[in-house]
Amino acid sequence: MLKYLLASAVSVAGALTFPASIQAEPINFRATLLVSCIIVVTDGALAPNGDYTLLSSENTGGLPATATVTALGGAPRLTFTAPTITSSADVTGVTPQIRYVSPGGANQPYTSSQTTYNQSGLLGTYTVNAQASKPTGFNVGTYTIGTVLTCSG
Amino acid sequence: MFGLRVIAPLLLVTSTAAMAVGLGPLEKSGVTATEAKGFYLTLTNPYKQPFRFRTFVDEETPALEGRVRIFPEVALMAPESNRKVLVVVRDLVPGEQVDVRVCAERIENKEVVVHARVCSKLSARRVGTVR
Repeated sequence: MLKYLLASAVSVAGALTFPASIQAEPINFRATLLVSCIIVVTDGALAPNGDYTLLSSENTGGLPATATVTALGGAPRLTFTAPTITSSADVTGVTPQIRYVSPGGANQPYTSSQTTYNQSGLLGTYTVNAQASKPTGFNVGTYTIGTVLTCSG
Repeated sequence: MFGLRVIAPLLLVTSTAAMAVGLGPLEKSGVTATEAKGFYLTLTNPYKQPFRFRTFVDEETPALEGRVRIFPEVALMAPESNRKVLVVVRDLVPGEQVDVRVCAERIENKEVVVHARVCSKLSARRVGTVR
């Protein structure tokens, strides 16, 4: 009996110290980050100058639009399409322009063309101004300057 | 949005409103052994009110419009909620790769100045040899 117990003890001790019997399981932490984008835009307002030849969000009474872009998982590419102007009055020959700036470094001067900006951080806040001029003066009507802000990867 | 109403001699400046939309991921690719490949996108309504959103094939890839199905194309979203949108690229032939841009935006009741849109680039490839 004693021999049996000793033999068992040696056997157990051997099993405990034998390297091949060690069980190891890795513990991993895994995450898949997907780039997504959320845009929140607040409208602006246009106001005329004294002689009604310039409609601008920077005139007295005007208000710039703001766009807040939140990107999760990566920096997105922002595109502002060429602005358009619509009105109940005649806007033939009127070319609208927009400009935008952001604390993150965007500084686009007034342009009538499509522009692209690569946002460097995950959060971008853009102040967008718009204007349109008509040397003969704007007639009575409702005017809207529009652009499409697209966030893409 | 920038709006102005000129009413001589009074001026009425339009009030402000907010537009928003969220979509992700912005890029996704997948391989299939069949003639169709599906992608799930997550559409977000960040507003505190319910709004309707539409998901559509971007104008940059109009030729693919007939081969891409989106479920649902229009969704009424609860406030501050997310939902899955299924995009299926169909009629893939062996070895073919189809790249499509799918965009989402809020359905506006009026014309707005800064119209928010988020687009996702999807790439579907069917295994096999091009015939």
